[in-house]
Amino acid sequence: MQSEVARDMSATDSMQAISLDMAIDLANRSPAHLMLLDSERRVFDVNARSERLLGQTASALRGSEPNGIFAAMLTRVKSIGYERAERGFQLQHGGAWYEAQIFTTQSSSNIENGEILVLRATDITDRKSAEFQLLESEARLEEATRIASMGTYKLYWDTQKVIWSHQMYEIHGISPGSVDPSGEIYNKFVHAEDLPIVKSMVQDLSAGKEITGTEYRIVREGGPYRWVRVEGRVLFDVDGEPYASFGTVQDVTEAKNREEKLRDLVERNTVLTEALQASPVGVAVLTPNPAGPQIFYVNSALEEMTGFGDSRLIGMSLESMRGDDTDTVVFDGLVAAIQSSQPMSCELTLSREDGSSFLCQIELAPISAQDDGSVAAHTLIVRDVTDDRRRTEAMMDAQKMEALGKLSGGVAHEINNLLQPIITLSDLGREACREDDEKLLKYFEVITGSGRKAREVVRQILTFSRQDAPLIGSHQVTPIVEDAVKLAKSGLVPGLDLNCNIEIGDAHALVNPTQVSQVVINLVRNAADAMDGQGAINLGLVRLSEAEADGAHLKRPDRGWLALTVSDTGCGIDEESRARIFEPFFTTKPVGQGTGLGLSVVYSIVLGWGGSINIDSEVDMGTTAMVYIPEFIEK
Amino acid sequence: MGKTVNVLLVEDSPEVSLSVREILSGAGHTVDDATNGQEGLDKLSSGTYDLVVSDIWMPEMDGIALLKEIRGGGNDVPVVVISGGAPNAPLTYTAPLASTFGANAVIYKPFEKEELLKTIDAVMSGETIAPGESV
Repeated sequence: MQSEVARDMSATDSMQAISLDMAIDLANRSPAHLMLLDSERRVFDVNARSERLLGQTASALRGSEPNGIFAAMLTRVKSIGYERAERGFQLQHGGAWYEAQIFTTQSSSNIENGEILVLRATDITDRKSAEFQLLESEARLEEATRIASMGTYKLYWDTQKVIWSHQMYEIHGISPGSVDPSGEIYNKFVHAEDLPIVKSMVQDLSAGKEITGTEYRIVREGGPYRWVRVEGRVLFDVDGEPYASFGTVQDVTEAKNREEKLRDLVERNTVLTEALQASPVGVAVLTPNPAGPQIFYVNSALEEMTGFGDSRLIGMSLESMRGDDTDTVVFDGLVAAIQSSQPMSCELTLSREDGSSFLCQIELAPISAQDDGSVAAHTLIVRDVTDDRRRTEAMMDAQKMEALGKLSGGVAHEINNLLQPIITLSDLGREACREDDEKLLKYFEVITGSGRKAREVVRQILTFSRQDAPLIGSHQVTPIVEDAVKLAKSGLVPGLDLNCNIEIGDAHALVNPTQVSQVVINLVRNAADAMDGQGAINLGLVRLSEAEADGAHLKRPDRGWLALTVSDTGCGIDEESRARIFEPFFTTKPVGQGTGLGLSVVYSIVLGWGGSINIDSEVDMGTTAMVYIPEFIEK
Repeated sequence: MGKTVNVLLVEDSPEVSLSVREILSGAGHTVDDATNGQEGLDKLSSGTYDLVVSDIWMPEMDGIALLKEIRGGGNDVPVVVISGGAPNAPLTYTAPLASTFGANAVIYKPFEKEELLKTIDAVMSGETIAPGESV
């Protein structure tokens, strides 16, 4: 802009001149193209940038018709009107984009009644192309999301206006454009329970945060709810200023349903796993393996049963449970059943980690977990029946003893009546004999003697049959046993010793003192008979610890147990004899030396105290008899 | 040897009965006998006896029932029970039961001659002997 023109335009006073100079300077520095038109709409002046754009000086342009971009602007004004033009508009000209504005200014210049029209055009081509790129990428995204059945949304921060893509309406089950999803309106699509999620999501979006994978349920009219997954990104304008959030919404109902099903399955399996863990029955899952069945899973009951804790069995071979007592034929049969995918049930002795063995009942069943029905694994259900077996055997023993007892009780009663005349009349017969008839006297004596021996046998049988119930009371055990030991000692041959270790203090038990003596004397006599006249018999009387009581399979009364043990280093008892040792009339002693009633009487007596008896023996090594007596503590 | 005792022996076994009778008569006592409780009761009501010696397990009326009848009828004649089950008869015939129902003594078969005689002497001099105790 030339100063002389400007001066012409300017006011007469100096202040106005200064301000005009400033205006001219500003106009020349402006990034915009400026053109001033006079009332005739001819060029009055242009700024330096316009001179460069139009390739003509201001003086050359003065008085001419506006040309170039300015001509285009004036043409556009015709269609949009001055009012719109005053607010600014965009137009394309000569391959460039301009932001244009046309406004009038009153001036007291030398232009009479002149109305100066200011045309301003700023080249926005660069910005416009960036916007285009943005639009293009948004369009491409829109297309991509349409293909992926995703909806897109745009949330403008300044107005909180929300714009939805076509798919968004479909996802929400409404016809496109039927609602304005801005603001609170959206909430009516949201499942009531998920409103807080959506509220916080919208807050995040408005605060310019990114949203990744927020999931919530939307409610569609007349249909079940759908799961959607929302992503959100911040949009920046060409000047790098954030102005909106843009994102995708995907209907993930199917995936969600699958996921829920899976979780359900997992949860169900968790419940099953928990159930298996809590089961008192041992469970293992075995997989066939060329090197032998391999353990894939064990529950805690089986770990406890076997002593292999902390999942140590997992990955091990079934072979690791085979022990010395394991029946090879049955075990091999089990392995073969696994390798050939067959079910099987058997009873088998297995080995614990510490080498001890336990008897168990095993159920083997194939698992067809695969779709083709082929066997994936085997379940092994293991029940420890060691105690059951022991109980059953003990019960059978008890029943056998009871039957024998009843029988012998009845027989004894008959015999007693028969023995009365034998003893009495033979005795009287002897008295009636002539004193010199030695032969007859002898006969009667033998009859009387035999009758008396028979009476003793019968009394023992009756003790065994427990048809008499001698008075049982609370007695201190130590003195009774000590007295019995004295008696027992007196009956021992000189080469034999009886060592005592009594350490139960003043412990009491509900017993009959005579019976205690009977038990002690019987056990010591048996020990002595096994010893061949030499060596020492050890008698112990101790209090059992809880663990020892458990080990002896004793039901643990609150009062604890006393153990009376009598050990010898004699000939021992073989397995076969041990099984029958408590049977009445069973004896290993030479004919005429034992009645075979001693131990059965002991057995019966001890049971009568609520105790139990066990014989531990090894041939040629010796025998230990263990009598367990419940301790009695007076309340 | 004490004075002669007039004994009623109630015992179903002829052999036992003979044995007891021989012991008693050998000791100078007189013996009448019955083979069950009812017969014994009948004899008691018609005759006079110093002592009853009774078995427990008998047909028709057993020893316990006999005891109940004797004591129930207010008769305090001494009774010595000779138990076939020894210390071990089935529950209803147990010796302790005999004591409960008023037997003065209980002894177990097969007993010795002296055991019976001593028991009778004791009972006749007013003693009571519990089962399992010896005279």
